[in-house]
Amino acid sequence: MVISVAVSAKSILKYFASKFSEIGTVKKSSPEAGSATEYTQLKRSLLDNMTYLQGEFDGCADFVSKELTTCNRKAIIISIDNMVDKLTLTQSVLTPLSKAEPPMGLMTDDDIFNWFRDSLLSSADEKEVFSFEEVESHIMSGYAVFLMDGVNRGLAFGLQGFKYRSIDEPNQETALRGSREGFVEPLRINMMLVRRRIKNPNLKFEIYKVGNESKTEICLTYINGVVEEEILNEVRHRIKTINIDTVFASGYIQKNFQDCPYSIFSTVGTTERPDTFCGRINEGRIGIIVDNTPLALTMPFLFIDNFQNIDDYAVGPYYATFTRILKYLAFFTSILVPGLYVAIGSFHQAYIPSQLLYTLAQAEEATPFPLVFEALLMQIVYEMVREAGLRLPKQIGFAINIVGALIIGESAVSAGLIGAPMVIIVAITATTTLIIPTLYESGVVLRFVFIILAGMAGMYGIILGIAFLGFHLTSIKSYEVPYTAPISPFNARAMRDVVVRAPWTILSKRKIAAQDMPGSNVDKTQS
Amino acid sequence: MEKKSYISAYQAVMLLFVGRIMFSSSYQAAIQAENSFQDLLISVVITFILNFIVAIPILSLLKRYPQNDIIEGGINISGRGFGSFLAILYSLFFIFNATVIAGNFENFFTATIVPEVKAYFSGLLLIIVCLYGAVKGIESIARFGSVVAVIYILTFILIVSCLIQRIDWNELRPLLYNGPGIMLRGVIMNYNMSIQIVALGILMSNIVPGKSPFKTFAAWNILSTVIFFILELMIITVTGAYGASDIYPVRLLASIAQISVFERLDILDMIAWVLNIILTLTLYIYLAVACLLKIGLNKHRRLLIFVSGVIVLLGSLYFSSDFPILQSIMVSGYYSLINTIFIVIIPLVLLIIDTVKGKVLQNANKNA
Repeated sequence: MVISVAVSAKSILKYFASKFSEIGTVKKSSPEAGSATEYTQLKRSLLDNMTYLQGEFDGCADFVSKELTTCNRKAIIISIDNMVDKLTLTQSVLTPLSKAEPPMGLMTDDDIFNWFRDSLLSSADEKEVFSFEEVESHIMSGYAVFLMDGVNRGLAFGLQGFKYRSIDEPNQETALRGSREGFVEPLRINMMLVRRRIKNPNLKFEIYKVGNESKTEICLTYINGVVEEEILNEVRHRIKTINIDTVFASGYIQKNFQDCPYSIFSTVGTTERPDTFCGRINEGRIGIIVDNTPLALTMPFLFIDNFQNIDDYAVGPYYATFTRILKYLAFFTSILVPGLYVAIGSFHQAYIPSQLLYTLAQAEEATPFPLVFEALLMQIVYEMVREAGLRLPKQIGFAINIVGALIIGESAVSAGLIGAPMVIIVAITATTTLIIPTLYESGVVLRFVFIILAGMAGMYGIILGIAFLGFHLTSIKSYEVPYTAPISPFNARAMRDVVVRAPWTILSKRKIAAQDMPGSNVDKTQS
Repeated sequence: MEKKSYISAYQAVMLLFVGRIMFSSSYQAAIQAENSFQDLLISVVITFILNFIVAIPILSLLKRYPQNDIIEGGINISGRGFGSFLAILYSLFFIFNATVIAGNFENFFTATIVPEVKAYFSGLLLIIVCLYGAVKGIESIARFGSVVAVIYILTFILIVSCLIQRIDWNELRPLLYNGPGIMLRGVIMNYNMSIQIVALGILMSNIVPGKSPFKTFAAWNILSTVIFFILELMIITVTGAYGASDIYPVRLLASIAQISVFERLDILDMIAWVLNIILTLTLYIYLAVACLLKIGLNKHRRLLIFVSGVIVLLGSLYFSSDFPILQSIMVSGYYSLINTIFIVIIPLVLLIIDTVKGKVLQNANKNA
């Protein structure tokens, strides 16, 4: 009798000790890069766990649970509807559980659970979860979580089956000879696209969660040994300082990585192409892929990067150089030509060759408006037609473009409202602007500024604008790398891939990382 | 701690070259050379040698105190009080020169380019851009300066190439035909334009460590002299005596140049020249403020830049209304004297004080 009392007392004490250890005990989360947040531990009672979770997901019609009994123990599988592949869940988890017969010798709940984890249930992506927060995070990422009565842990199975857009060529960055793959919305698919192109264990992915409400995953990508530690630490610091409720696109957090938030030029690059993304991180830059958005960010980002395209490296050096020069000419044409036309036509007619002068004078003779007003009006009308074409359905947008062309091109000239040369200027501007899509926004703003300056003070106004733009561009830095490098500060070796695209025999000789650009203030450390 | 801004020696040379070559076109009419225009070629050569001589005190001071400029050297040598006095002096020197340049430009602009625009409006726009550049700092100024220098050199090459066939060697009359008077006036004019020696003295603390001040100065002097010599030769042989009396002879050259259907290229010259003006003004305003920052006025940097800009604007409006004054300043012996004080005398005095102090300390150590 004494022995039985002692055994009972021992079991009672053991029970209360286990309960006591659960109360208020917190457990560190599974390691996520840079985080050590503390969460609320799961309970041993399945009823308590489900009461908590059903409370959390109260009102969520997509929260589904499947109760089952396995090995004489109550268990439950919880997931979010349409995020899990039901067939795979049935085959890999439910069917084995329903037929499970544990080996002899497994007595306790923990033993049974460990047997489930190690032997019975098979999934390539299987994790043990310990806290309610981990359970919530995993099921909202498309995992199915298995909870069993008597065990204060769970198993999360990566059986994502949600629908996503198939990998297709990006709309904005098409390539003639490059890959036809573009980033899609799911983060893990994008990581796979990058990993396939850089089969190197030095390619690192660090996952962070941003957005107080949305808890969106972002992936910090870099190549160890090439990236500069100072820049990497700075980016990590900026990620941790992101304070925003929701992140639905990379643009939401892009401003956090901008060095000059008030500049019209971006110091953070964006790309939809995995090959472009890999090319940039191979130069020592850092990439950020955001879940649910196909547009990845890269930094540092320099002015010359706007003119580099994946096709430049797929074609011969002579043609690539020709297209590069064309792009630079196109950019400066798009921002300066309307202003130059206004300046010369309004103030400096003597500079126009005689024959051309007569033609222009004849064309503009009957128009009622000054050149600057014509230029501004036509540019505004063009931008309106363009915006309308973008927002409307394709069929109507196509019609709008035709109507816009008719209005601008034919009717306005025939009515004598504007001169034909102005239509040509607008057409040239429209074409050249679209050659560099990443500089479209900057180009539009600059074009209007130069037109106004030209209208106010002719060539002097344009020169002042060029000077202002020059000072601005040369003052921008992207993570301590001068934005205009290697044009200014000049570096002859780095210029091999700026205006001229040197042959691969030269390009492959020595890699020039972003932080090696002249004038860079990055503290070089031993990687 | 904010990282200090450094520029390369190449950028410094380009920046100073832009400032020097900007003067190349405006003041020759004041010499009234007429038939002795060719003597200015000798003036250019003499000034080239003279620059090396007058730069000795500054270069010696910079060599003695590497990575320090004239103001910092002055503070190290003579103490904070005298150093502060020097800083204010040099600051006023740069502001004065900036005012003269701006006044000359406004006069040119309203007389020649766009007469419809008022001088105060053109001056205001100019100063706004220059203040923006000065606020951005020396790195931005130097980087933009490199680009402007290249634009100028390309424009120069284009204009000279177009004018080669119009060279008339008969315009090159015998040198010193009418005596040395014009040559000497030319030397004074060129010497007065070489205030970039002082600018180098202040910029030295921003140049990347390890660069020789002498080599930087020599590169600037050689580049400026070669370009200026060729320009003078072209002005003499293409425009002749008419060019000697023109206020803006380089613009005259460019207006004569033709290429294909373009009957005149002075618009290219104007672009390059106006960019030079903007850059030089920006540099001088920056240097004027930089001198004051070295005596502890760091917190008021933007205010000092703004005040300097206002002074330059008001002064330039005053000067622009009286162009003969502007012209006469550049060929004035009084201006040469002022330049000599800042280029030669002050650095020489500092060197002497430093040498004497060094010897006194040495003797004191020996006795001890």
